[in-house]
Amino acid sequence: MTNHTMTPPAREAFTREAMEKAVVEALARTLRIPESEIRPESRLEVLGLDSMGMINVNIALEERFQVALPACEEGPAVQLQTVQDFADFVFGKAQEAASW
Amino acid sequence: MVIPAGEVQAALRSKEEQREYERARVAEHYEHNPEVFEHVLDKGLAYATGIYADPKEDLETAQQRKYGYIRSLLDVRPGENVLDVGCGWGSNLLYLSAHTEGNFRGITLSSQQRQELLRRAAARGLSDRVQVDLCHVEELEVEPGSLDAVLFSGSIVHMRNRAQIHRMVAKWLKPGGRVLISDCYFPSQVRGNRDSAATDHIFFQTLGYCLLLNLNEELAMIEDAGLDIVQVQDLTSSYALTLEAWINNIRRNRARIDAIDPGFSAVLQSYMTVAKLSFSRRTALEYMILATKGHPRANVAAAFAQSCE
Repeated sequence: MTNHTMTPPAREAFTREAMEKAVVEALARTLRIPESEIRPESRLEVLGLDSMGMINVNIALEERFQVALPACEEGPAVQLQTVQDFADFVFGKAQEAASW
Repeated sequence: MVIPAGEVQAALRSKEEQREYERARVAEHYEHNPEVFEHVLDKGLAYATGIYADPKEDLETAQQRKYGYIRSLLDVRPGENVLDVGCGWGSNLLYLSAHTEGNFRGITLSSQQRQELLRRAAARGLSDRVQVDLCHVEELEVEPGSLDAVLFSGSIVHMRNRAQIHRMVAKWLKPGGRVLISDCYFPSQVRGNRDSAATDHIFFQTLGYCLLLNLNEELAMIEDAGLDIVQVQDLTSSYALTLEAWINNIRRNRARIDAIDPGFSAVLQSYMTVAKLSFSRRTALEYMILATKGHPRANVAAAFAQSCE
Protein backbone atom coordinates (compact mmCIF):
# COMPACT_ATOMS: atom_id res chain seq x y z
CA MET A 1 0.00 0.00 0.00
CA THR A 2 1.29 3.44 -0.81
CA ASN A 3 1.90 5.51 2.26
CA HIS A 4 -0.12 8.65 1.77
CA THR A 5 1.42 11.04 4.21
CA MET A 6 -0.71 14.08 4.32
CA THR A 7 -2.16 16.64 6.60
CA PRO A 8 -5.93 16.52 6.84
CA PRO A 9 -7.71 19.78 6.00
CA ALA A 10 -7.98 22.12 8.96
CA ARG A 11 -10.96 21.28 11.10
CA GLU A 12 -13.55 24.00 11.24
CA ALA A 13 -14.38 25.09 14.79
CA PHE A 14 -17.86 24.16 15.94
CA THR A 15 -20.03 26.93 17.02
CA ARG A 16 -23.79 26.82 16.85
CA GLU A 17 -23.66 29.55 14.21
CA ALA A 18 -21.06 27.73 12.10
CA MET A 19 -23.12 24.55 12.30
CA GLU A 20 -26.30 26.24 11.11
CA LYS A 21 -24.39 27.83 8.22
CA ALA A 22 -22.90 24.45 7.32
CA VAL A 23 -26.32 22.76 7.50
CA VAL A 24 -27.79 25.36 5.16
CA GLU A 25 -24.90 25.01 2.70
CA ALA A 26 -25.09 21.21 2.76
CA LEU A 27 -28.87 21.26 2.30
CA ALA A 28 -28.56 23.67 -0.62
CA ARG A 29 -25.96 21.48 -2.32
CA THR A 30 -27.82 18.23 -1.69
CA LEU A 31 -31.23 19.57 -2.68
CA ARG A 32 -29.83 21.75 -5.50
CA ILE A 33 -31.64 24.86 -4.33
CA PRO A 34 -30.27 28.35 -3.55
CA GLU A 35 -29.19 28.95 0.06
CA SER A 36 -31.45 32.01 0.10
CA GLU A 37 -34.47 29.67 -0.05
CA ILE A 38 -33.48 27.95 3.18
CA ARG A 39 -34.52 29.67 6.41
CA PRO A 40 -33.94 28.44 9.97
CA GLU A 41 -37.67 27.81 10.28
CA SER A 42 -37.94 26.01 6.89
CA ARG A 43 -39.41 22.53 7.27
CA LEU A 44 -37.08 19.78 6.02
CA GLU A 45 -39.94 17.84 4.49
CA VAL A 46 -41.15 20.86 2.56
CA LEU A 47 -37.60 21.48 1.29
CA GLY A 48 -37.72 17.94 -0.10
CA LEU A 49 -35.17 16.26 2.19
CA ASP A 50 -35.59 12.47 2.09
CA SER A 51 -33.64 9.80 3.97
CA MET A 52 -30.90 9.64 1.31
CA GLY A 53 -30.60 13.43 1.37
CA MET A 54 -30.32 13.37 5.16
CA ILE A 55 -27.48 10.86 4.93
CA ASN A 56 -25.65 12.97 2.33
CA VAL A 57 -26.05 16.17 4.36
CA ASN A 58 -24.75 14.27 7.36
CA ILE A 59 -21.67 13.09 5.44
CA ALA A 60 -20.99 16.67 4.27
CA LEU A 61 -21.04 17.81 7.92
CA GLU A 62 -18.78 14.94 8.99
CA GLU A 63 -16.30 15.93 6.28
CA ARG A 64 -16.41 19.58 7.21
CA PHE A 65 -16.13 19.26 10.98
CA GLN A 66 -14.17 15.98 11.02
CA VAL A 67 -16.49 14.29 13.46
CA ALA A 68 -18.45 11.06 13.39
CA LEU A 69 -22.17 11.68 13.57
CA PRO A 70 -23.72 8.20 13.40
CA ALA A 71 -26.72 9.28 15.48
CA CYS A 72 -27.65 11.76 12.77
CA GLU A 73 -27.96 9.14 10.02
CA GLU A 74 -31.54 8.51 11.04
CA GLY A 75 -32.45 12.17 11.26
CA PRO A 76 -36.13 11.88 10.26
CA ALA A 77 -36.62 9.14 12.84
CA VAL A 78 -35.74 11.54 15.64
CA GLN A 79 -38.44 13.99 14.59
CA LEU A 80 -36.32 16.78 13.20
CA GLN A 81 -38.77 19.12 11.58
CA THR A 82 -36.96 22.33 10.71
CA VAL A 83 -33.50 23.46 9.63
CA GLN A 84 -33.05 24.90 13.10
CA ASP A 85 -33.99 21.56 14.73
CA PHE A 86 -31.47 19.84 12.50
CA ALA A 87 -28.69 22.33 13.30
CA ASP A 88 -29.42 22.04 17.05
CA PHE A 89 -29.41 18.25 16.91
CA VAL A 90 -26.21 17.99 14.88
CA PHE A 91 -24.50 20.64 17.01
CA GLY A 92 -25.33 18.66 20.15
CA LYS A 93 -24.08 15.40 18.65
CA ALA A 94 -20.94 17.04 17.24
CA GLN A 95 -20.07 18.34 20.68
CA GLU A 96 -20.51 14.87 22.15
CA ALA A 97 -18.59 13.11 19.39
CA ALA A 98 -14.95 12.31 19.63
CA SER A 99 -12.87 13.72 16.84
CA TRP A 100 -11.71 11.12 14.29
CA MET B 1 -44.98 -6.13 -5.88
CA VAL B 2 -42.82 -3.03 -6.04
CA ILE B 3 -40.26 -2.96 -8.86
CA PRO B 4 -37.50 -0.31 -8.89
CA ALA B 5 -37.34 1.79 -12.08
CA GLY B 6 -33.91 0.36 -12.96
CA GLU B 7 -35.32 -3.17 -12.82
CA VAL B 8 -38.16 -2.22 -15.18
CA GLN B 9 -35.49 -1.09 -17.68
CA ALA B 10 -33.56 -4.32 -17.14
CA ALA B 11 -36.67 -6.33 -17.96
CA LEU B 12 -36.84 -4.66 -21.36
CA ARG B 13 -33.30 -5.72 -22.35
CA SER B 14 -32.51 -8.93 -24.18
CA LYS B 15 -30.41 -11.47 -22.28
CA GLU B 16 -27.33 -10.44 -24.27
CA GLU B 17 -27.98 -6.72 -23.73
CA GLN B 18 -28.34 -7.31 -19.99
CA ARG B 19 -25.08 -9.28 -19.90
CA GLU B 20 -23.24 -6.43 -21.63
CA TYR B 21 -24.92 -3.93 -19.31
CA GLU B 22 -23.68 -5.87 -16.27
CA ARG B 23 -20.20 -6.22 -17.77
CA ALA B 24 -19.88 -2.46 -18.26
CA ARG B 25 -21.80 -1.03 -15.32
CA VAL B 26 -21.05 -3.46 -12.51
CA ALA B 27 -17.32 -3.31 -13.27
CA GLU B 28 -17.25 0.49 -12.81
CA HIS B 29 -17.54 0.35 -9.03
CA TYR B 30 -14.78 -2.23 -8.74
CA GLU B 31 -12.46 -0.44 -11.13
CA HIS B 32 -11.73 2.20 -8.48
CA ASN B 33 -8.19 2.03 -7.15
CA PRO B 34 -7.81 -1.03 -4.87
CA GLU B 35 -5.87 1.15 -2.42
CA VAL B 36 -9.14 2.90 -1.59
CA PHE B 37 -10.69 -0.38 -0.55
CA GLU B 38 -7.60 -1.20 1.53
CA HIS B 39 -8.57 1.78 3.69
CA VAL B 40 -12.15 0.51 4.10
CA LEU B 41 -12.19 -3.29 4.17
CA ASP B 42 -10.28 -5.94 6.14
CA LYS B 43 -6.72 -6.88 5.18
CA GLY B 44 -7.99 -9.69 2.94
CA LEU B 45 -10.25 -7.24 1.07
CA ALA B 46 -13.51 -9.14 1.55
CA TYR B 47 -16.28 -6.96 0.12
CA ALA B 48 -19.02 -9.05 1.74
CA THR B 49 -20.29 -9.65 5.25
CA GLY B 50 -18.10 -11.10 7.98
CA ILE B 51 -19.50 -13.34 10.72
CA TYR B 52 -19.63 -11.70 14.13
CA ALA B 53 -19.95 -13.93 17.21
CA ASP B 54 -20.14 -10.77 19.32
CA PRO B 55 -20.94 -7.19 18.25
CA LYS B 56 -17.78 -6.00 20.04
CA GLU B 57 -15.51 -8.02 17.77
CA ASP B 58 -13.40 -6.20 15.20
CA LEU B 59 -13.75 -6.52 11.43
CA GLU B 60 -10.63 -8.64 10.99
CA THR B 61 -11.93 -11.24 13.47
CA ALA B 62 -15.33 -11.36 11.79
CA GLN B 63 -13.85 -11.74 8.30
CA GLN B 64 -11.35 -14.37 9.43
CA ARG B 65 -14.26 -16.36 10.88
CA LYS B 66 -16.09 -16.07 7.56
CA TYR B 67 -13.05 -17.22 5.55
CA GLY B 68 -12.65 -20.19 7.88
CA TYR B 69 -16.33 -21.02 7.75
CA ILE B 70 -16.43 -20.92 3.94
CA ARG B 71 -13.38 -23.16 3.90
CA SER B 72 -15.15 -25.65 6.20
CA LEU B 73 -18.36 -25.64 4.17
CA LEU B 74 -16.64 -26.01 0.79
CA ASP B 75 -14.41 -28.77 2.23
CA VAL B 76 -11.82 -28.46 -0.55
CA ARG B 77 -9.62 -31.58 -0.79
CA PRO B 78 -6.27 -31.94 -2.59
CA GLY B 79 -6.60 -31.58 -6.36
CA GLU B 80 -10.22 -30.42 -6.27
CA ASN B 81 -11.33 -27.67 -8.64
CA VAL B 82 -12.92 -24.54 -7.25
CA LEU B 83 -14.50 -21.66 -9.18
CA ASP B 84 -15.02 -18.29 -7.47
CA VAL B 85 -17.55 -16.25 -9.46
CA GLY B 86 -17.04 -12.54 -8.80
CA CYS B 87 -13.80 -13.22 -6.94
CA GLY B 88 -13.08 -9.56 -6.20
CA TRP B 89 -9.53 -8.88 -5.08
CA GLY B 90 -9.20 -12.52 -4.06
CA SER B 91 -10.20 -12.55 -0.40
CA ASN B 92 -11.64 -16.08 -0.42
CA LEU B 93 -9.63 -17.40 -3.36
CA LEU B 94 -6.28 -16.57 -1.73
CA TYR B 95 -7.39 -17.77 1.71
CA LEU B 96 -8.58 -21.08 0.27
CA SER B 97 -5.48 -21.54 -1.87
CA ALA B 98 -3.23 -20.87 1.14
CA HIS B 99 -5.15 -23.25 3.42
CA THR B 100 -6.05 -26.14 1.10
CA GLU B 101 -4.49 -28.03 -1.78
CA GLY B 102 -7.17 -27.33 -4.36
CA ASN B 103 -6.94 -25.65 -7.77
CA PHE B 104 -8.56 -22.25 -7.94
CA ARG B 105 -10.05 -20.21 -10.73
CA GLY B 106 -11.63 -16.83 -10.20
CA ILE B 107 -13.58 -14.66 -12.60
CA THR B 108 -14.25 -10.95 -12.28
CA LEU B 109 -15.52 -8.15 -14.53
CA SER B 110 -12.88 -5.72 -13.23
CA SER B 111 -9.36 -5.61 -14.64
CA GLN B 112 -8.22 -3.72 -11.52
CA GLN B 113 -9.45 -6.56 -9.34
CA ARG B 114 -7.78 -9.16 -11.54
CA GLN B 115 -4.43 -7.31 -11.45
CA GLU B 116 -4.60 -6.83 -7.68
CA LEU B 117 -5.50 -10.48 -7.13
CA LEU B 118 -2.60 -11.65 -9.30
CA ARG B 119 -0.25 -9.28 -7.46
CA ARG B 120 -1.40 -10.62 -4.10
CA ALA B 121 -1.12 -14.23 -5.29
CA ALA B 122 2.45 -13.62 -6.46
CA ALA B 123 3.39 -11.94 -3.17
CA ARG B 124 2.20 -15.05 -1.30
CA GLY B 125 3.79 -17.57 -3.67
CA LEU B 126 0.38 -18.82 -4.82
CA SER B 127 0.55 -17.88 -8.51
CA ASP B 128 0.75 -21.46 -9.74
CA ARG B 129 -2.44 -22.43 -7.92
CA VAL B 130 -4.62 -19.49 -8.89
CA GLN B 131 -6.04 -18.52 -12.29
CA VAL B 132 -8.06 -15.34 -12.75
CA ASP B 133 -10.03 -14.47 -15.88
CA LEU B 134 -11.79 -11.31 -16.93
CA CYS B 135 -15.12 -12.78 -17.89
CA HIS B 136 -18.89 -12.71 -17.34
CA VAL B 137 -20.14 -15.94 -15.77
CA GLU B 138 -22.65 -16.46 -18.58
CA GLU B 139 -19.78 -16.66 -21.08
CA LEU B 140 -17.62 -19.01 -19.09
CA GLU B 141 -16.81 -22.31 -20.75
CA VAL B 142 -16.43 -25.12 -18.23
CA GLU B 143 -16.38 -28.83 -18.93
CA PRO B 144 -19.54 -30.41 -17.50
CA GLY B 145 -18.95 -32.35 -14.28
CA SER B 146 -15.48 -30.86 -13.74
CA LEU B 147 -15.91 -28.64 -10.67
CA ASP B 148 -15.99 -29.60 -7.00
CA ALA B 149 -17.09 -26.27 -5.59
CA VAL B 150 -18.46 -22.94 -6.81
CA LEU B 151 -18.49 -19.81 -4.68
CA PHE B 152 -20.51 -16.60 -5.08
CA SER B 153 -19.61 -14.24 -2.23
CA GLY B 154 -21.32 -10.88 -2.55
CA SER B 155 -21.52 -11.28 -6.32
CA ILE B 156 -24.72 -13.03 -7.43
CA VAL B 157 -26.68 -9.88 -6.53
CA HIS B 158 -25.15 -8.27 -9.64
CA MET B 159 -26.52 -10.98 -11.96
CA ARG B 160 -30.04 -10.84 -13.36
CA ASN B 161 -30.18 -14.11 -15.23
CA ARG B 162 -30.12 -16.22 -12.07
CA ALA B 163 -32.11 -19.27 -13.18
CA GLN B 164 -29.74 -19.90 -16.09
CA ILE B 165 -26.69 -19.34 -13.90
CA HIS B 166 -27.89 -21.95 -11.39
CA ARG B 167 -28.49 -24.41 -14.23
CA MET B 168 -24.97 -23.77 -15.56
CA VAL B 169 -23.45 -24.29 -12.12
CA ALA B 170 -25.43 -27.53 -11.66
CA LYS B 171 -24.05 -28.78 -14.99
CA TRP B 172 -20.46 -27.85 -14.12
CA LEU B 173 -20.46 -29.55 -10.71
CA LYS B 174 -19.40 -33.15 -10.13
CA PRO B 175 -21.73 -35.34 -8.08
CA GLY B 176 -21.16 -34.25 -4.47
CA GLY B 177 -20.06 -30.78 -5.63
CA ARG B 178 -20.93 -27.75 -3.50
CA VAL B 179 -22.18 -24.28 -4.29
CA LEU B 180 -22.05 -21.53 -1.69
CA ILE B 181 -23.80 -18.16 -2.04
CA SER B 182 -23.43 -15.28 0.42
CA ASP B 183 -25.58 -12.29 -0.54
CA CYS B 184 -28.44 -9.85 0.04
CA TYR B 185 -32.17 -10.55 -0.23
CA PHE B 186 -35.41 -8.74 0.34
CA PRO B 187 -37.87 -10.18 2.85
CA SER B 188 -40.94 -11.68 1.14
CA GLN B 189 -43.11 -9.37 3.17
CA VAL B 190 -42.45 -5.89 1.78
CA ARG B 191 -40.95 -3.65 4.46
CA GLY B 192 -39.71 -0.15 3.81
CA ASN B 193 -39.76 1.64 0.48
CA ARG B 194 -38.02 -0.46 -2.17
CA ASP B 195 -38.96 1.92 -4.93
CA SER B 196 -37.25 4.90 -3.28
CA ALA B 197 -34.80 7.19 -5.04
CA ALA B 198 -32.17 5.84 -2.61
CA THR B 199 -32.72 2.24 -3.75
CA ASP B 200 -32.60 3.20 -7.39
CA HIS B 201 -29.47 5.28 -6.90
CA ILE B 202 -27.57 2.54 -5.08
CA PHE B 203 -28.70 -0.42 -7.19
CA PHE B 204 -28.35 1.18 -10.60
CA GLN B 205 -25.89 4.08 -10.17
CA THR B 206 -23.43 3.44 -7.35
CA LEU B 207 -23.23 -0.33 -7.83
CA GLY B 208 -24.21 -0.57 -11.50
CA TYR B 209 -26.79 -3.31 -11.26
CA CYS B 210 -28.27 -5.17 -8.28
CA LEU B 211 -31.21 -7.55 -8.10
CA LEU B 212 -32.34 -8.49 -4.61
CA LEU B 213 -34.64 -11.51 -4.82
CA ASN B 214 -36.64 -13.00 -1.99
CA LEU B 215 -34.79 -15.93 -0.43
CA ASN B 216 -37.55 -18.32 -1.50
CA GLU B 217 -37.11 -17.29 -5.15
CA GLU B 218 -33.37 -18.01 -5.08
CA LEU B 219 -33.86 -21.32 -3.30
CA ALA B 220 -36.52 -22.38 -5.81
CA MET B 221 -34.19 -21.62 -8.74
CA ILE B 222 -31.35 -23.57 -7.11
CA GLU B 223 -33.68 -26.54 -6.56
CA ASP B 224 -35.13 -26.26 -10.05
CA ALA B 225 -31.57 -26.55 -11.39
CA GLY B 226 -31.36 -29.96 -9.70
CA LEU B 227 -29.29 -28.97 -6.68
CA ASP B 228 -30.23 -29.74 -3.05
CA ILE B 229 -30.27 -27.06 -0.36
CA VAL B 230 -28.12 -28.15 2.57
CA GLN B 231 -28.40 -25.10 4.78
CA VAL B 232 -29.32 -21.44 4.89
CA GLN B 233 -27.87 -19.14 7.49
CA ASP B 234 -29.07 -15.65 8.37
CA LEU B 235 -26.14 -13.22 8.55
CA THR B 236 -28.21 -10.03 8.56
CA SER B 237 -26.97 -8.77 11.95
CA SER B 238 -23.38 -9.55 10.99
CA TYR B 239 -23.76 -7.56 7.78
CA ALA B 240 -25.06 -4.52 9.66
CA LEU B 241 -21.97 -4.74 11.90
CA THR B 242 -19.67 -5.24 8.91
CA LEU B 243 -21.10 -2.16 7.22
CA GLU B 244 -20.70 -0.16 10.41
CA ALA B 245 -17.04 -1.19 10.60
CA TRP B 246 -16.50 -0.17 6.95
CA ILE B 247 -18.18 3.20 7.57
CA ASN B 248 -15.98 3.81 10.60
CA ASN B 249 -12.91 2.98 8.51
CA ILE B 250 -14.06 5.55 5.94
CA ARG B 251 -14.39 8.13 8.72
CA ARG B 252 -10.89 7.37 9.98
CA ASN B 253 -9.33 7.32 6.51
CA ARG B 254 -11.40 9.92 4.70
CA ALA B 255 -8.45 12.19 3.85
CA ARG B 256 -6.39 9.24 2.54
CA ILE B 257 -9.27 7.88 0.44
CA ASP B 258 -10.09 11.26 -1.05
CA ALA B 259 -6.41 11.88 -1.82
CA ILE B 260 -6.46 8.74 -4.01
CA ASP B 261 -9.97 9.15 -5.42
CA PRO B 262 -11.51 12.57 -4.68
CA GLY B 263 -15.11 12.38 -3.50
CA PHE B 264 -15.25 8.57 -3.38
CA SER B 265 -15.32 8.41 0.43
CA ALA B 266 -18.72 10.14 0.38
CA VAL B 267 -20.04 7.81 -2.35
CA LEU B 268 -19.05 4.76 -0.31
CA GLN B 269 -20.25 6.13 3.00
CA SER B 270 -23.58 7.15 1.53
CA TYR B 271 -24.53 3.76 0.07
CA MET B 272 -23.07 1.84 3.01
CA THR B 273 -25.12 3.94 5.45
CA VAL B 274 -28.35 3.23 3.57
CA ALA B 275 -27.41 -0.46 3.53
CA LYS B 276 -26.51 -0.50 7.23
CA LEU B 277 -29.85 1.05 8.15
CA SER B 278 -31.67 -1.45 5.88
CA PHE B 279 -29.97 -4.49 7.39
CA SER B 280 -30.35 -3.09 10.93
CA ARG B 281 -34.10 -2.70 10.35
CA ARG B 282 -34.30 -6.01 8.44
CA THR B 283 -35.81 -4.30 5.42
CA ALA B 284 -33.02 -6.16 3.62
CA LEU B 285 -31.59 -9.52 4.68
CA GLU B 286 -28.26 -11.27 4.28
CA TYR B 287 -28.08 -15.04 3.83
CA MET B 288 -25.48 -17.69 3.20
CA ILE B 289 -26.81 -20.61 1.20
CA LEU B 290 -25.09 -23.98 0.77
CA ALA B 291 -26.36 -26.44 -1.82
CA THR B 292 -24.97 -29.66 -3.25
CA LYS B 293 -25.32 -31.82 -6.30
CA GLY B 294 -26.59 -35.06 -4.82
CA HIS B 295 -25.41 -36.27 -1.44
CA PRO B 296 -23.82 -33.54 0.70
CA ARG B 297 -20.28 -34.48 1.59
CA ALA B 298 -19.41 -31.63 3.88
CA ASN B 299 -20.16 -32.14 7.52
CA VAL B 300 -22.16 -28.97 7.83
CA ALA B 301 -22.99 -29.35 11.51
CA ALA B 302 -19.30 -29.72 12.36
CA ALA B 303 -18.41 -26.71 10.22
CA PHE B 304 -21.03 -24.63 11.97
CA ALA B 305 -19.81 -25.69 15.42
CA GLN B 306 -16.25 -24.89 14.41
CA SER B 307 -17.26 -21.42 13.25
CA CYS B 308 -18.82 -20.71 16.63
CA GLU B 309 -15.71 -21.62 18.62
